[in-house]
Amino acid sequence: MITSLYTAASGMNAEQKKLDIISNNLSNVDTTGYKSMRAEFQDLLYQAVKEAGTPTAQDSTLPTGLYIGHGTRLAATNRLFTMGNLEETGNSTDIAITGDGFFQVQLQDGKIGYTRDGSFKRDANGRLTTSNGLLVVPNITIPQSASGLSISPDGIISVKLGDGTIQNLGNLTLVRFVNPAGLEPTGNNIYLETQASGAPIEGVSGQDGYGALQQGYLEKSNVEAVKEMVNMIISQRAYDMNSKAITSADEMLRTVASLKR
Amino acid sequence: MRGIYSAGMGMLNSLQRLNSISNNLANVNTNGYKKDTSLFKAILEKEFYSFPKNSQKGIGIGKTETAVVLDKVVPEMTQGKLVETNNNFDMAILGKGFFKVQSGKDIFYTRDGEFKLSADGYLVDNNGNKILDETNNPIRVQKNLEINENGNINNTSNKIGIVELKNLSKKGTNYFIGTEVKDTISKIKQGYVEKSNVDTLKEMVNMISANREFEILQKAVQSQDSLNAKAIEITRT
Repeated sequence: MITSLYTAASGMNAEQKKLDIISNNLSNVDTTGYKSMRAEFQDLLYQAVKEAGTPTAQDSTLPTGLYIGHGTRLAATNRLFTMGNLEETGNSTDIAITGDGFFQVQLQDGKIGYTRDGSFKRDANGRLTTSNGLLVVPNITIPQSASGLSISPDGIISVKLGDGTIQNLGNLTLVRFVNPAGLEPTGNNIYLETQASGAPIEGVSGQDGYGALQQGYLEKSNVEAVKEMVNMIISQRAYDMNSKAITSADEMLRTVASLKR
Repeated sequence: MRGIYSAGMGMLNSLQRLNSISNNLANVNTNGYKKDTSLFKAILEKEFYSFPKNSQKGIGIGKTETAVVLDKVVPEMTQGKLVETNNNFDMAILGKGFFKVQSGKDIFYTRDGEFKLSADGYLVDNNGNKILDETNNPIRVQKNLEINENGNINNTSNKIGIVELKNLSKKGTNYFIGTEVKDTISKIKQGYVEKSNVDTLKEMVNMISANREFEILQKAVQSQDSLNAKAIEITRT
């Protein structure tokens, strides 16, 4: 019918998806370790009616062509891995990472997942797990008789035993990715490695930008509510305007229909 | 009889204007997008002659153009607003320059600086294509990438390639094609993105005017039609 009908519809479609992403950010504003996402748009392909650079006469070419655009599409959802605020909880098994690192957890299927959410718990056997009961890797088991768990900034976990001796339980190592934005989110604050993220590189917390561990703190989400609200307004208005373009095209079609009386 | 064609072509032009407007509005949130402007031209020039008494030769008394067609769709290259994102892989260009992108054997140009770090350590765009430096080589970067206004990358001798373009046209997916001209005055702003330069108010106003134009031309077609009908009636005896 009219190209602009579909062009405007593509605009509405993209804005709607943008709103979905904004809503997801806002709903996770209180999720520990959540990293906000943003929508990135691209224009669609152009239909060349006249190519630029085609000869028009001897020694002269068209400086600009004639291209008809076909709208927009959501090209990518980019996750921004900036630091969230640290909040003190006073809980000894809460750990925040003050850098680029990720904790490793063992998923049900034996694969390794990655998370920034350090709100760990102890299961019945004294092992360190996530809130969903997934084991933290490397496995750390806290003896029943232990008191006073302490985690140093570089990941050494130690406890005080009943007889007053200090026992070293192991090192909590972190991993880093070349391109964390390429990680695949699987929900429950857990990411999986992909081709785009590159392989995990294990290292010691507190060195080379892995980020020191902060015991007794949690990292809040990095969602900036004000920015999201502003984007929501912009998105809604863009949606409105695109719907007007559809109405406009529709009126033109009605005009065509009334040509013949 | 000819007027019906002029008006009909005019209606097609209004439709075409609406296509451009729709594309601009659809891309109002596309970073680095440059808005389309439709340019029309008059064609089919016709001369009017007056024939004085006792003369075989007419004197030209004026011209008219009997049709208007869409001539070009030109991207308007004004600067879009820069918005701070605080993401060190976002870059915006202040000035007329473009980033260079390698796509297969071709080099495309873009103003959309929402870059990423690929798993093998290169600076890439949203389509996964590598961004090029001044000598058309892909750029290896670190996560703590810092770029100064002139495009020099920290801890390397690399400089991100910025060129101006002549004869440019759009390719889609935020790419332009054109002829390179050396760029000297563009500045790179790290941590910013350039929004589209679509002026929504203007587009809405243009939309209304295209709509009304279309209706008026439709009336012109109808009156021509009724004149023809009259002419046909006269011949009935």
